[in-house]
Amino acid sequence: MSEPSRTPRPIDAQTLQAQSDAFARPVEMQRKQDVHVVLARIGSSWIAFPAARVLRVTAAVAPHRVPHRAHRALRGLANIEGEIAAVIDFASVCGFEWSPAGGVKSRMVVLGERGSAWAFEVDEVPGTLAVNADELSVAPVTVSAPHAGFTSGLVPTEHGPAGMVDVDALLTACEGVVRS
Amino acid sequence: MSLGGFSMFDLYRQEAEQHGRALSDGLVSLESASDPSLVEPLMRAAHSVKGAARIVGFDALVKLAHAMEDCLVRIQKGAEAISAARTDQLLQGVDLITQSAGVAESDVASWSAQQGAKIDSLVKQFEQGSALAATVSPPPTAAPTPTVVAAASPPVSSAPPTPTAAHTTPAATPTPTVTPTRAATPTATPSPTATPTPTSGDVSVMVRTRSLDRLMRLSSESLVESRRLEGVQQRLRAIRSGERALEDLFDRRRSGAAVADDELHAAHQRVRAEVAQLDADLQAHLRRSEELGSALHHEAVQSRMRPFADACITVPRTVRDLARSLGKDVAVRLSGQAVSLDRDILRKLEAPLTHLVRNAIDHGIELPSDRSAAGKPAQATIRVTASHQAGMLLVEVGDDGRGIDLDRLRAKILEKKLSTQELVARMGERELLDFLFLPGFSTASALTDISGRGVGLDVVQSTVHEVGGSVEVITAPQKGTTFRMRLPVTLSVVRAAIVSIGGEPYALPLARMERIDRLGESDLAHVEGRLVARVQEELVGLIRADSLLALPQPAPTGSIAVVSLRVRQKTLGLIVDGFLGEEDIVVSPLDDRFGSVPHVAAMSVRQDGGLVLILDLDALGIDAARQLDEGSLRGAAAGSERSTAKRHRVLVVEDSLTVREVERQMLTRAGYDVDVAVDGLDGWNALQRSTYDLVLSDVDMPRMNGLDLVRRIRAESRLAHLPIVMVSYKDREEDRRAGLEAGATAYLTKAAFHDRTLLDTVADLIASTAHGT
Repeated sequence: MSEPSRTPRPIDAQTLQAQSDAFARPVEMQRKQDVHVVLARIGSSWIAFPAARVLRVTAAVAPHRVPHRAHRALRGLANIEGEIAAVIDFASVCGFEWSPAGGVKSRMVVLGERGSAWAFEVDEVPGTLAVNADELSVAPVTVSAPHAGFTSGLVPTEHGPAGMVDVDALLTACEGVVRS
Repeated sequence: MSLGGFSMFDLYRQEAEQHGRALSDGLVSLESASDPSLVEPLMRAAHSVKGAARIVGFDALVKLAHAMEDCLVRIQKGAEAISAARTDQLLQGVDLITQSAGVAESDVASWSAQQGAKIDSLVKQFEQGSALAATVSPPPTAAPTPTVVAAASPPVSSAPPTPTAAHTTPAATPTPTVTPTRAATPTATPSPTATPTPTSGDVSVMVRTRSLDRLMRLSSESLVESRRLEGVQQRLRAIRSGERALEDLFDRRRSGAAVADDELHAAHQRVRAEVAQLDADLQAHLRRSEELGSALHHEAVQSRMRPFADACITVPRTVRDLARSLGKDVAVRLSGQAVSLDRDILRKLEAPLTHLVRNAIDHGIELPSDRSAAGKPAQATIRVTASHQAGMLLVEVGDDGRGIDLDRLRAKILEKKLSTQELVARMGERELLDFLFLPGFSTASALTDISGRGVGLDVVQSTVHEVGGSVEVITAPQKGTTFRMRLPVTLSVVRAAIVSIGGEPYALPLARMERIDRLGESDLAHVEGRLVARVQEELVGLIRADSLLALPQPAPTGSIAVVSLRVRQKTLGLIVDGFLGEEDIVVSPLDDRFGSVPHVAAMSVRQDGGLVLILDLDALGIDAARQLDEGSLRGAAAGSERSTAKRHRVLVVEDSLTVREVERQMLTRAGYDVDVAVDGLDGWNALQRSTYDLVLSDVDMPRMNGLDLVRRIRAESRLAHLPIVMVSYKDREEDRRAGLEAGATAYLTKAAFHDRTLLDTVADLIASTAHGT
């Protein structure tokens, strides 16, 4: 945990414990090739978003649906701390593990840039990780198949491997989602 | 030479424009009031123009303004009486001054050469005494002098008119489509140089200095206020140090040292006092920030506001010149001059206002002899009023003329083959009057260069619709006609009803809706397969807003709200879940990543931070009406057409109700499935929702014309090969070429309705596309 947390919201006891444990670990000297990622869980899958592309992580905001936009991955528009973001169901846009009643997601990972933000609802964001580039492995075919276009590799985490998101490919797909 | 971004010539232009208006206005007042005290401001204005022209070396204008000033001095001294002819000459001089404000610096020499003879002739006339003045330019008819009862006061220097407003001086008011059968009015001679040349790509606007000062003050206060947070931070530090002192005391106590309770208590009290103070400081900061934020927003909106008087500046002059040229006696009554409205709306309002005033004089108002014969005062009155009503701006242009002859209107509708005798006989007054707004509809038996009622009324309507307003006509025989425009006060903030649709908030601009009623399920009934309800004694067809918006329908709650809209001379009701209240909302464009979303005009962030989508009630109403019509058709012919093989689908895009209906019926009879759209934008939205085999489109339409529609279709790869037939009254070669160049597959004139040309073309194009794919 080398970066300050991007979670300005009140932190629940579980998260606090996880964070504390992380801080309690001995500090390792960082290597130059470290890649910082924001780790998030959607259902039983772990996703790693490149931290440099994450605008913020916030509590989930109920989006306003957009009439005549029927793509199942589009949840709507939301005002997230003053930023208007298109809210996208990550699982649907990636084509895996889609369940319409997937339950209420508690957090949102906001990607993109000011004026063009994309928010993805996730179940949990334990924090950020610094991963050595050497540790990134190419995703095996079986794992990457459903969202092959959006995973650039696998990040080893304590929860198991997390798919590293190819943000550019993801946002290109999202642009198609909001127009269909 | 440059002065803060303005060249000297820019400043000349502003002066010429401002003084030109003051002169024009003042001369009309002077003529009717003959009050010598009114002359002095005119002399000053002419003098100022002369000075400004001299500085920039605009010699022709120096000569003209000088002669005008001399002439005005004579009038003030009583050496010459003001006459209608002299006023005409002076107004011609004013027109040249106003025109000169639109000349680019580089064109001064050519403009001067072009206008030289006219200026010399005017100067000569001004130099001659009053005895000769009357013989120089006789009025076209022996017209009585119009009276201006409440003329707009000349604009004061702190609030000069916007530069763009000068583009619609009476001299430059276009009457493009009418055939001149009457001699032009003395001032109605627009020259090419009257068209102002844009000086730069940036649009600069005038803001009242008072408003700018207030904005500056408020933003400075905001800055100061934000710095107050540093004080808060210091207080927080004091609390922390108090907290540490308290901890020290506890530590000492724990380690067995003697610490008096009083000492602990005192330390605690200090921390407590600091916390209380911090709380008070933060409360005060929050309150002030909120007040400042809202004052800043209010002032920013206000800085866009202009008085209604700005839209009326040319009215007295227009009335005077027109009445004089037509031999009519007309007084103008202007009221609500101080009513404020958004500068963008003001700019859009000028042309419709001028048009309605010209219409009233030309067609509404009778000749003095006819008025006397009808037992009315010989002098007619035109009222131009503005007021704020329920958060909307109400602008009325009314005359006390002969009123609109409904029988003649019916005859005209039949003559133009816009409807059948039977239908026309059944039409109510409101329905009949709606025909006046159809493009190309005119009840004037001879079109004049001034106006033909109908020529341009469609433009009045589409301009008003463009800013989200509405227009209606009220007329009574021999009592007169009033055109009433309901407009939003500003485009950046709209008064809207917030309703819940599919469990989410949507804003409906109040300007475009009739009413909202709460109804129980028991108030609803089914008639001919349609859901209806009685609203205000009228049986209204209902349609669910959530189904129109393609949203999932929530479970019925037992009570609903119905929003009444007026579409195509009918009222219809949109069923929403409930009415949440009325709010002023700040309009923001919809996220452009979404492209054009049918039925959604914009969005807004509400005070609680939630989003609300602002619906386009025009588009929604049109689609609702269409679905209601289709529903009743389907109800009547249930099952009869279901079994037929796949029929080709044609989209008819046409703003004229009649032409649209003719085309729909022709194509339906020929076996096509036909959808209709009322303008280009509506057509474009239909193409986003559905797939068609062919599009039949008109050329001239409000909101988006046919050429733009065709270009937009061709720009989308999915529609690149869609056959498009353009149908228009315009049969010139260049019109045809423009249509084909835009991307139309065929261009037909509306004469094609009379034979099989249209149907054959449609059939051929659909067949060739089917074979091609």
